[in-house]
Amino acid sequence: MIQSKILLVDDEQGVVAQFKEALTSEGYTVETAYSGEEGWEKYQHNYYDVVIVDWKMDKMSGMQLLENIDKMHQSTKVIMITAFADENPDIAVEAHHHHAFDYLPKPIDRNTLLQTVAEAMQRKDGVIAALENWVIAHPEEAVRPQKATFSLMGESQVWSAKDILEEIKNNTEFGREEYRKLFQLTIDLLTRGEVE
Amino acid sequence: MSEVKTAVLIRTRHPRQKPTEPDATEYSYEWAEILKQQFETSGWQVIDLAIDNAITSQVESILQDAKNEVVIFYGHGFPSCMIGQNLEAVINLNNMSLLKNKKVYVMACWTTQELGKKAESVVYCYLGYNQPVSFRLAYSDYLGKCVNKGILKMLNTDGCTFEDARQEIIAEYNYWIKHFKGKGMLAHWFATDLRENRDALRLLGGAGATL
Repeated sequence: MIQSKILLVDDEQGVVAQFKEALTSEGYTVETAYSGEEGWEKYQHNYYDVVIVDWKMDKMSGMQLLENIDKMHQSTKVIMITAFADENPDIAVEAHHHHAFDYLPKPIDRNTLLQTVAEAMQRKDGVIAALENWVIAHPEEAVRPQKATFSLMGESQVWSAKDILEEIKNNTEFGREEYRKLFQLTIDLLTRGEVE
Repeated sequence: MSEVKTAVLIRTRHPRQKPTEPDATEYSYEWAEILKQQFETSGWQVIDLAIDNAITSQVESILQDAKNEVVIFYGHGFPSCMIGQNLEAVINLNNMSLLKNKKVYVMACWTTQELGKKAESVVYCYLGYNQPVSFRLAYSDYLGKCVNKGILKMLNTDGCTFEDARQEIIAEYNYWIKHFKGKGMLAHWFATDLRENRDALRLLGGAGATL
């Protein structure tokens, strides 16, 4: 079983502690960041099934972080939270414009938080979910050398399916390229049934 | 009596970095072997610069002979060069004049990006790839069919041009992409490789050239 991973970004330490306790009690792996910059740094080098981000933070705001994530991986499930919902009703619209999964006004009770995260997990990235399922179902095949290339660039020229899944989750250049290829062919199949 | 035509075949086979991880050139070496046999069956002379002969001194010496106008390279590539057996840049931006008036057919990553583009003014024509060429080991034979398709078509069809060969290769890629798409994770993944390889194929110079 691959544990689902959450990135929690909020500059209020009390909120972070409270949310982290609730989420870990449900079996999620939770990483935390206390600023938009720290959250973005972590996001770029790791894969998260769900990102929970506070709207108002110093320097890089939650909205800016959402925009960055949206540009890199539009399918990442981001839950925007804010204590300023009443004063800024446009936040929800803007968040959805940048493909936020949901928008929750503070204070957020434990049940609402867990339910929203569970819903986001159910809609996790289809490409990654399919790969994870395949790796779990084919443990021996998944570690066998599988992909090769006619280039000597980079440290490795041979990868297993499990290696590639890790590269995708770690957001490496190679991983992003593999993800893009899978995603593109899948979209072609879904939309046209053809690849030309 | 007509003169025997000559093709220069440069093919590497690099050792494994780890015992369990085959190098891609183990496969391309065998695909090139198919070319060698078919060329010889068709009456061509093949100068086979294989493995330890796929080094700069040998390649430069052979390419200086103007008679050797068809050059086939199967191995690793960089944007600026084709890589020889000892990891030298056997054909690169400094010695690319050796390709003057040659018909060049390359199965390697990247080489049309810089080397092919810069050599375009001297070569007769240059068919290669401008991005990585990759595959899944379990389906290697099918990539071999795709990459060999163009040159074998030219060999076996009078008047077949490099542009015809390019189209044949694309058709072969399309056939196998359709065949493998949606047929399980690894097969589908291989289809994504084929799709990228297909889109990376480039023909530079005289598209109307024949062998």
